[in-house]
Amino acid sequence: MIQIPALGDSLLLTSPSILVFCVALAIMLIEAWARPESKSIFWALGFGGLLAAGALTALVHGMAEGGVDAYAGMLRIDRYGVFFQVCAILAGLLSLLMSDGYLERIGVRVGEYYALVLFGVLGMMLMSAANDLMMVFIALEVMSIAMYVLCALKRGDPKSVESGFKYFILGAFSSGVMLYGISFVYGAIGSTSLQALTAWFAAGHDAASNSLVVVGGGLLIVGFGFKVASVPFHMWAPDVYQGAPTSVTALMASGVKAASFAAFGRVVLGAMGEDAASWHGALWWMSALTMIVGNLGALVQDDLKRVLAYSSIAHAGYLLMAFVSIGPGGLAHSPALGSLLFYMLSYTFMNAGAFAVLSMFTRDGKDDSRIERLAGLGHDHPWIAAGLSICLLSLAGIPPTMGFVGKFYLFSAALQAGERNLAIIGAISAALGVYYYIRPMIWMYMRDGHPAVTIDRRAAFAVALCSAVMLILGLVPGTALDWAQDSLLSLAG
Amino acid sequence: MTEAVLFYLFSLVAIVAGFSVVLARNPIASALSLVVCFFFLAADYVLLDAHFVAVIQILVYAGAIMVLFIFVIMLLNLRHDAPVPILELSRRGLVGMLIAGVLGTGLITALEALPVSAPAALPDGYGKVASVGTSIFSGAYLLPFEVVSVLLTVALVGAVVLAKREI
Repeated sequence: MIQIPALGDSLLLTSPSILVFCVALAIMLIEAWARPESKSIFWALGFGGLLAAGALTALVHGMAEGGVDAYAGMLRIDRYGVFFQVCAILAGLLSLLMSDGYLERIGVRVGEYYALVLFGVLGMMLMSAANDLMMVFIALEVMSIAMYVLCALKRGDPKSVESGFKYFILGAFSSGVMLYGISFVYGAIGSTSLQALTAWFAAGHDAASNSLVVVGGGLLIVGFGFKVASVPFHMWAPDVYQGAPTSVTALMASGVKAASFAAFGRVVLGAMGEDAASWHGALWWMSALTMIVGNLGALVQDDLKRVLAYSSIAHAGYLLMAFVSIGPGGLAHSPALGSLLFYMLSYTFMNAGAFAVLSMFTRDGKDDSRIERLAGLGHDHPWIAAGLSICLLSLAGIPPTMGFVGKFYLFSAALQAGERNLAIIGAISAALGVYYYIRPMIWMYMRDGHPAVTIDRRAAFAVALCSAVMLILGLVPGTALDWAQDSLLSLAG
Repeated sequence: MTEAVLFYLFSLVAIVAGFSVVLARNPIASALSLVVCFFFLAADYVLLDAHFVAVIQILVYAGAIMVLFIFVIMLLNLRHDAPVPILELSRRGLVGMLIAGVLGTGLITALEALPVSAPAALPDGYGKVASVGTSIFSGAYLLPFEVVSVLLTVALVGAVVLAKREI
């Protein structure tokens, strides 16, 4: 007799994801019947759906105080996962805010766009909670395939098609590498579950005693390295970020990165954290190179989307710094690493804010984000210019913004763990980075001109929201920091 | 003993067919070699007691996917007289071979360093349709199975969006 599993709790715990999925399906069904003039309903549905999913996530957060397994251990709903789910939903909401007007300006106004954004967010949410390498992989693919299509959505524009195609080829390749790594880990420990992997390391095994784990773990790190765009796996990022529609780039830079870091962290900090010493060298170099190359690359760019692409590479380096900063005694004794999560949250806001401003710069249905287009923005549209400045200052890590607080705690976590050299490399490259964040501000305030900018109310709201959050959480970061720390510690069990 | 003989036999044919896929000059011959390769891989799965996977391998890969391949080849209408370069020994090819060689050596070293243990006893009904079905629908793999269907939906929607004449 086949037993029907009792799913009650699991269904309840994943209700936010299920809701997002249902709304995405509903959008596609309505699209088939809707009249062309009623297209704004898709935006409302998508936005409302994500808001409701956010509210549900908050409820689930209360249920999953210490972390519970769902679907026989495939997902683990804990504070860590919920934190990143919130990041993903926020990224989706902010991206949707700038989408409607932007899509109309570039002439791609389709219902499927909203469905695909929701599917992407669904993948991110599942990825944040995935507690099994198989689930990590499938969720990653749900997210990635939605993103590939979104990148290439503007089919008339060769750059957009190039972006989607590059992302697809390299993404598929890196997924293959990751899957290969998963198969080695499975071969070594006989399970794909992260819990089993944690137990395996906790039982006193280490990578040195089993060569399959070395190869498997290494390939996993390479696969994740591709997804978070860390050096030397970063080549795709600038072209993909530049070619994709700006609202999609915003989602990619904030949501995709957050979800990839969520899974990366669960594997490297959670499961392999017991054996941190074995992976230390590889991650150390990855972090150092990513910070240096990302910041140097951004210095010579003239297109703001490319600048932000390189800056997103550099930020992956800062975040990777947390992965090598596990102190003695494991994760449970390194609460400072909560700065990783706090930084991810601030990164979501500052990136989305900057891209929301860029989404207003279009000309003849094309993106026009060259830096000289900003000339005179401070005079013509002082509020938009102020919002962009706050986001850029936050990206640069200048007080009193949230980006400063995040960087401060990240670097001090690295110092606490004795990673002095890495912190110095980080500080020097961050100082270099200030140049390319300040440069757009010089254009905005010190050069004359009249920027061809379309003020879009929703996008402007997104900018205002992001800069307000940057400032408020930059001045009083206490609650958010505590939340981030609690969330990280829930990973340590 | 019989099993070992069969395994080496099947694997040998699969590897030869695999080479033939890459080396054949005629694309149809490549595709048909791939069918042979899939069949003998399925035979290896049977030796591993994975009956369900073996049947699916033949039904889906050797059957459906191959028909699709051959359709595409015919639609593309490749001409036979155009010589297809067999192995391009460019600098890029050499670098690729070098990397593949390093990776392969690493993997072989890793495998040789492994402790060998006796194979574990299989549970009753292992690899049969019933046990695979049970683990998919009422075991641990319920959620991955469902999310894979979400994945297919996303891929389909994406393909239609990108291929539709007007959006």
